[in-house]
Amino acid sequence: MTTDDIIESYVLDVSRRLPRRQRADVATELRLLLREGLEARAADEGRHADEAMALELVRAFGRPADVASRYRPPVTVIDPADGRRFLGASAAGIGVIWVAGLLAAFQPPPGSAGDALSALGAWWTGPGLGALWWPGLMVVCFAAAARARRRRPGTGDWKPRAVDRDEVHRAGALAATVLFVCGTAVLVNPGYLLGLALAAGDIFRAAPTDEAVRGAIVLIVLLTLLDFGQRLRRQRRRVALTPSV
Amino acid sequence: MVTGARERLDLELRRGVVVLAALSQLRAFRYGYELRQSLAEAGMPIEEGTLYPLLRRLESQGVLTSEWRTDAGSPRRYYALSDEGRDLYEELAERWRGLNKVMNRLLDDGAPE
Repeated sequence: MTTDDIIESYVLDVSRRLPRRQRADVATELRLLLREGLEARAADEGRHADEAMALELVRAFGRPADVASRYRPPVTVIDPADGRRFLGASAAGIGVIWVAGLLAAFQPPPGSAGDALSALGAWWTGPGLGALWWPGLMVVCFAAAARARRRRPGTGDWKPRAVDRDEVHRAGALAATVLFVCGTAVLVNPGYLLGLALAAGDIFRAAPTDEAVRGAIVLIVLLTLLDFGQRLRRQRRRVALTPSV
Repeated sequence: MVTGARERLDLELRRGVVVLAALSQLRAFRYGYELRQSLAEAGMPIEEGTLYPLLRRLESQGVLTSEWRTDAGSPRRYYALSDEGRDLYEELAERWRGLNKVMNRLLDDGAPE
């Protein structure tokens, strides 16, 4: 490939990402500037421009997509300030759909490891992948909110609200909620949870016959619980160290 | 961690002055490569991939005006401040001088003995 071919290919990659009315003009200017830059670099280094030098030049210029985006004002779909909330809402929604789907997939409880694997497969191709509609919906909602704020700047103004001064431990509150839901489920349908527990026991007994495998599983569970406990203690310590106003 | 923060903060600091630096050199017509050389010689090197698109954006915002010229053989696009751009440049330059004074005061007061 000649140096001109490299520059031409790069210019084409940049310009095809630009609006049609801007393409030819930007391409002409960019081509000339890159050629001039290459000639200057070759003169500085006291040798003829070659393929490696041209590649170095265009790579230093930036990825074609990045360069093209600099020619236009950036388009923001979700406000950067909403990024974490968007991720949190998306992950929480997917989590709820997956858990609900898993509960439905294991109803009635599978009798063997093979049945459990089939149920898992059906869950993955059903609600597992299907849950991805939720982040899509979140994109639409957050984008609409961002657009509304941009069009009517007053709509997103902060408003004061009553402050809840009770210090709620998030992990504790979550654990209490889970226990509350499980307790309610036991009261409503004790047979289902019992069946699930028995089936899990059957699966465990049926699948890993090797004691070393069982030992490894137990070790992983214990380490996970230990890690969770340490995180909880660190979080409590941080809360205790935070000065109260 | 600190290395990443240093690069990011340095980038942010430079981003704030790149536009004003470019405008300062465009009181007369210059083309992209010439402008880049002039800024680099003055101690303000700006990557080509940043400078050339910036000129286009400023032109589309009405800050710069441009024209094709073929003075030295190959055609080149020359940029200069438009009338509105000239006013804007004066405002920004004044604002920069004010900020510079404040920052110098802050930095000198906060400097170790």
